[in-house]
Amino acid sequence: MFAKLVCFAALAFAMLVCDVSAFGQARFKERAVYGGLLVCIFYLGFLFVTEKRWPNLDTLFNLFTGPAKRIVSWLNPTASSS
Amino acid sequence: MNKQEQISSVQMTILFLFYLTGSSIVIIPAPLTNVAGNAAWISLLIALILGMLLLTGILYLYRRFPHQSLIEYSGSLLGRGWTVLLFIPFVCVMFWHVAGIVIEIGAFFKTTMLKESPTYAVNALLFVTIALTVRAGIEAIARMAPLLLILMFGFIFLVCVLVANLYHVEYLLPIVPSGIGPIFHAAYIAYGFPYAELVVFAIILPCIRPKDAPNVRKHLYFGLAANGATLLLSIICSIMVLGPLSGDLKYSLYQLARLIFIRETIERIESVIGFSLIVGFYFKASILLFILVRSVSHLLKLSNERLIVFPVAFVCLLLSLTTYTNEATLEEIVNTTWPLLNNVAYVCPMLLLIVAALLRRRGRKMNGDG
Amino acid sequence: MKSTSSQAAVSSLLEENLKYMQTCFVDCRDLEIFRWHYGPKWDQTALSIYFTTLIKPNHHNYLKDALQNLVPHELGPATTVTVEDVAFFFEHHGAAAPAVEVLENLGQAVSGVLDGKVVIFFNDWNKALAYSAKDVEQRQTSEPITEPSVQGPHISTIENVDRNVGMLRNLLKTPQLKFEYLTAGELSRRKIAYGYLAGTVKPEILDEFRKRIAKIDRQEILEASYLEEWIEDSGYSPFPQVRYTERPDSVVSALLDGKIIAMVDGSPSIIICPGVFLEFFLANDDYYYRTVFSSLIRLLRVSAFIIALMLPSTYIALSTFHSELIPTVLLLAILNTREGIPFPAMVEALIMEFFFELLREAGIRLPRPIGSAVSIVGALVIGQAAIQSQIASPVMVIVVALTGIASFALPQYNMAIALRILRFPLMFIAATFGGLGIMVGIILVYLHLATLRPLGQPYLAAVSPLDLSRLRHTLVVLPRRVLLRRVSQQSPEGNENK
Repeated sequence: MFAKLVCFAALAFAMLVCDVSAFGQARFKERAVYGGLLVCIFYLGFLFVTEKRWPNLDTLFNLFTGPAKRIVSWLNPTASSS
Repeated sequence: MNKQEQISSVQMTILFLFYLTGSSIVIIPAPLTNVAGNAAWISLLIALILGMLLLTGILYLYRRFPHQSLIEYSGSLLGRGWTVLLFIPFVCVMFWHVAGIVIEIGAFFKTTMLKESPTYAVNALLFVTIALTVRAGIEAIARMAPLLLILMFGFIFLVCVLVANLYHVEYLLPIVPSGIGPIFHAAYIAYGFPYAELVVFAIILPCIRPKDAPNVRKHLYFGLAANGATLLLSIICSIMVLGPLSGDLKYSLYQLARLIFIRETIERIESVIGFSLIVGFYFKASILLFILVRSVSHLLKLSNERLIVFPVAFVCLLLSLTTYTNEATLEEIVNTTWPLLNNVAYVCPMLLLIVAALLRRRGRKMNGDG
Repeated sequence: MKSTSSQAAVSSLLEENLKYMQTCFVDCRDLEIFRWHYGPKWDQTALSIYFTTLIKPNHHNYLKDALQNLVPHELGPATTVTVEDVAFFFEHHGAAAPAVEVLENLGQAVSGVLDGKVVIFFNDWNKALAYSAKDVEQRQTSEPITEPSVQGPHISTIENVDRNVGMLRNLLKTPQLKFEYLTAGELSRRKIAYGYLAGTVKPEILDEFRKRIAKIDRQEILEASYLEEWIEDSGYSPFPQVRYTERPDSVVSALLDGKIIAMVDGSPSIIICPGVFLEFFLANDDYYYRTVFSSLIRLLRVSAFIIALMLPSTYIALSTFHSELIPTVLLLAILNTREGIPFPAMVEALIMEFFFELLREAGIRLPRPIGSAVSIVGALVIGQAAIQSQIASPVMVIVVALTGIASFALPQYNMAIALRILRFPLMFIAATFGGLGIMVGIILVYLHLATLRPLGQPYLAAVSPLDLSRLRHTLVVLPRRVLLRRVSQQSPEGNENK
């Protein structure tokens, strides 16, 4: 876990250093978007470092799995669930 | 990234070819042969035809709106509110799509070559490279493409040629082992990956230089056909060499490379092939990340695109490390859920826009003619 | 110091001019001021001012030359000349011998003296005369030190920009060869010349070049490489974006190719810009030798490039991560020799590379008689000692030595420097990620090359955008007859690209 934290922190730091000059010149809208992305980054980073299973994009996608399975079995009645 | 950056039609075709072939050449044909056995190539042809239809769709939209990306003319056709609603799933799915490609490469490396390296290190390294590539702009990407394309395709053909001594043409029969159901199932998989994904190219088609516009159609069709031919070749070689096993072994091209044995000097070269295959993954991921950044910036009407490249890439990196870390769930999403997800998020907006464009045209004709 | 650009006019009063020059050049003890007299009653005075260190040592009296032009006789004291005659003659640009310049303001007088001219002031005339008399020590044209060749001309350019331009004009006798000058630097006031072949060079390259050069103005340009910083696209890139040469024949072929050349007074190096990546593998000798041989040598250079860049990292990746790729017999040999080495391959490679770089750097500054002996002995001794003390394995020494030799095989030194720099990050990334790391490293290098645009031209010009005929020209040397046949088949304005 510590290694993951170090990796995450290093990448975040590098990214902020590279972007700090452009950020200073950016307009409010770009800064807002950047900030929004940073929020996502920290949330996902937290999930990554702590390996918790909180809601993520895959929970959203898994909602489609049910209908998808039905499509598959409609296309291919003989297939076992893969 | 200068909004005025333009590339030629040939360069766009190379990007297109890279995008379609890059990761699919490694992943396919295993899932197809797994489901449909020897008939996998028929499934691919079906999926290819569907892909052609999709290409026709985006080319029609390109012809109507040559200087605007998908999101931009959606704004004018459907209005801003509907556009935002329609494209939020588009963008969300694309975030994961980029992550998915890197998950696949990571999985590929973990199973084959770099078993000890931790996933996050490999993924991070790849994402740093991809982010830097995207930040350099589409002209730089287009400039790098030809040589890398030759490299990748060269290796693919090299593998197919070098295993020629192991071909068993009889493995190709029977042609339809288990009936038509599996063929459709495999076609469903192949349609989801990679063909439905080509819709996103509508975002970057306006990057083509205006004077190249008339050639775009035949170039892109050619690119799609070339991709189809290559995948077909890979499926057929895989069936001819591995026979009934081809469905059980993942990463068919890599398996083929492992079997190359020519007089003791050329053996065990699968690592070399593996490394050249990552070029395909890397490039597809770069193109897709570029499209994603472009989509986000068009959707939110940002003026400085370059600024968000790194955070978007970082989000994708973290997605790749937190979602579907289990190989079984990954397989499930790729084979089952992805085609549906793809269609909802990518293809539906495009179809809606085509319908809207047709209606608008008809409306204008009716008003114009009198 | 505004003295050289002073607009103050030459005064009619001799004493004022004298005072101005004396205050300007106070404490410059090598300045000589002579007072002369002439005229019907010996009452006209003139001053000649010059730096004894700058002019010819033959004590030529330029005042006498000036006055000589005004008398009907060949020799004799200038007793019939008055200052009005002088003023009239020179202001109307009478044919004088030797060639003389008329100066109007004191700034010009000061810069004239600094330029090695003899400046002569006359009483009651508000202009001055300047005669060129410069003679400073210069090197004779000799064999180019850094670019020797077996066949082909053996002259090199020297530190005087005018002589160099003369050498080039002599080789390209066409009015299309244009040269333009500018002076840079407040204190050094170097003459910079740039030349091109009108009709062959692309106008947009020339415009971009001019734009970049225009920014120099007051910077002190001491050497051609200072100029490079203004022309190049990215100062941080390890890859050079201009080529250097000291051979007039290389310069001529570059001009014929549509390149722009630039040179600085005081430096023999000539810059050829824009430099595209593939050109750094070409040497002019290729066209003096037989074509098959030249083609093979070019391929050798390409492999030297790859070896110099990738050999240590490939060795590290193979021995640490991917031992299955090495043929078994070789693998056993390597493992055998690596037994007992306390360091992992990466550290071993670093140590040996570091030693090699130290040796190389030290070898540059040693005086010639000792230099070669020390470097050979040093390399042998250190290599042998390292092997015997088990710090490094013989394979590593071979790898490092081969890398070093390969980097010398490249004709352009500044490209070899780029490889020396890039080797180390590649080694690090190979030690961490193995073959994947090397692939990623190569991709990053390639990406960087793809983004460079020296003077607006893509750095990877023939590779991407892919131009197969140019690529073929670069990798394979064709006989000139074949090339010319191709060129004449193309459009008339297509130029012969090498």
